[in-house]
Amino acid sequence: MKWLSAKLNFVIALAIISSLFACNNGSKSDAEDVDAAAVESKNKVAKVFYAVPSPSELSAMIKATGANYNKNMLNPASNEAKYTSIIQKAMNLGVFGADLSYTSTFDQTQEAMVYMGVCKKLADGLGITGAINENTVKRMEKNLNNKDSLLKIISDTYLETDIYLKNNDRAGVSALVVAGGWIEGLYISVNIASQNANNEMIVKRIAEQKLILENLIGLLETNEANDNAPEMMTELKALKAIYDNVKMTEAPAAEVKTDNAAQKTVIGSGGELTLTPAQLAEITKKITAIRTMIVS
Amino acid sequence: MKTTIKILFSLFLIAGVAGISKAQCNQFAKKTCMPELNPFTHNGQLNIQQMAPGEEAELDLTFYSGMSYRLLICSQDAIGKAQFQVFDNKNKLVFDNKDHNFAKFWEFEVASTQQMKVVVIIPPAAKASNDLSKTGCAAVLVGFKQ
Repeated sequence: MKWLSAKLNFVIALAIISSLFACNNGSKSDAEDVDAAAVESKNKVAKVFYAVPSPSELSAMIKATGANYNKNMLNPASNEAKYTSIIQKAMNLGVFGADLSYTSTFDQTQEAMVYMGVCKKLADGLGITGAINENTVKRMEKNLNNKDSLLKIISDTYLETDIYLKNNDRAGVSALVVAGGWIEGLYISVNIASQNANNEMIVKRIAEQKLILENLIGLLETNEANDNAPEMMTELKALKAIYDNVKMTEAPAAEVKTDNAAQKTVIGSGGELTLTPAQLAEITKKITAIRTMIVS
Repeated sequence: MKTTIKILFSLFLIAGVAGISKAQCNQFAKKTCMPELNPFTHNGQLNIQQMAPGEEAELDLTFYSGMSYRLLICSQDAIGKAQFQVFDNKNKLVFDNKDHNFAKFWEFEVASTQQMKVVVIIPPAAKASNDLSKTGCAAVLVGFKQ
């Protein structure tokens, strides 16, 4: 009887706990994640991450191509008021985040302040508290003449946003922010290419985005963007179909050379991705359509 | 009733530990791992997982020509020093930190932009176990500079 009572107590306790955690919006709980980790450990199943670079890396590469700053390519800050749904806010937080990185990388500090303000509004609208606050804006104002510090603040803000969303089981929203940032970066790149026919480096960088797009689609699919943003997923897959025709030149396996004096290790060529003018035109048309869909 | 309360308390503890693990991992990456990227600029990607001894994780990363990179793998003491291997796009092993005294990071450049696979391996525990307390956070971070 005592045993039965203990068992009943356990069932009651378990029921209460279960009901508390049942309010988790249908998403996998962390406890389930831990159980899954144990099972995976037993079976030695590899976990797979999908990595997409932040706008800061892409902006640095755009600047390195020798391109000039062009404000007209960016999404006007005044558009922020148009974005009312969670999906619009998330994707355009990514778009404006890329514009913020672009303006800062090109030393357009006043513009950067405007875009930081817009990012703050969208982040507030998404309920992301703390990632961008008054202190962030003050830090930016203090460091307007120090580009490295400015980029560090922006990078920290991007990271804080990502951490906040993931900590709060909103990895799907985080993936949409990442997608918006990548799409804006590619949109800026194709515009630079169309205005500078001789800029071979930017065309090369556009070709290389084939590698990133595959990861981006994986990231979005993992986080159920097919359900949340089906139109964008369809368009990104159409863009991937164009990129599938972009071929990599054959090259032997990469050699690793270490220069001990210079303390530098270089991994040899693994082949080059090259774009034909027709492919560039197709990519330009498609990414422009996707970007218009997001910012309109 | 006392027993119910005791069980409730225990279950709350278990649930609490599991519930904060994600946040703990993110804080670990931010506070402990990120500073180790200095003087490189973090590329903004936070790749972190809770892992157990014997478990593996893999990640495809794109590295651009013209940049210098620091690839950092950072794991909590509970799961020991992580082994990491880097494979080129033809699946040839180009780096294994096991051959470098389990170094936490590797700095390199690529002659041409390429996607490489990073495999993180948490060494098996001394004794076979699925003890959940043995799990810990492992982070893969990339820093770049021009």
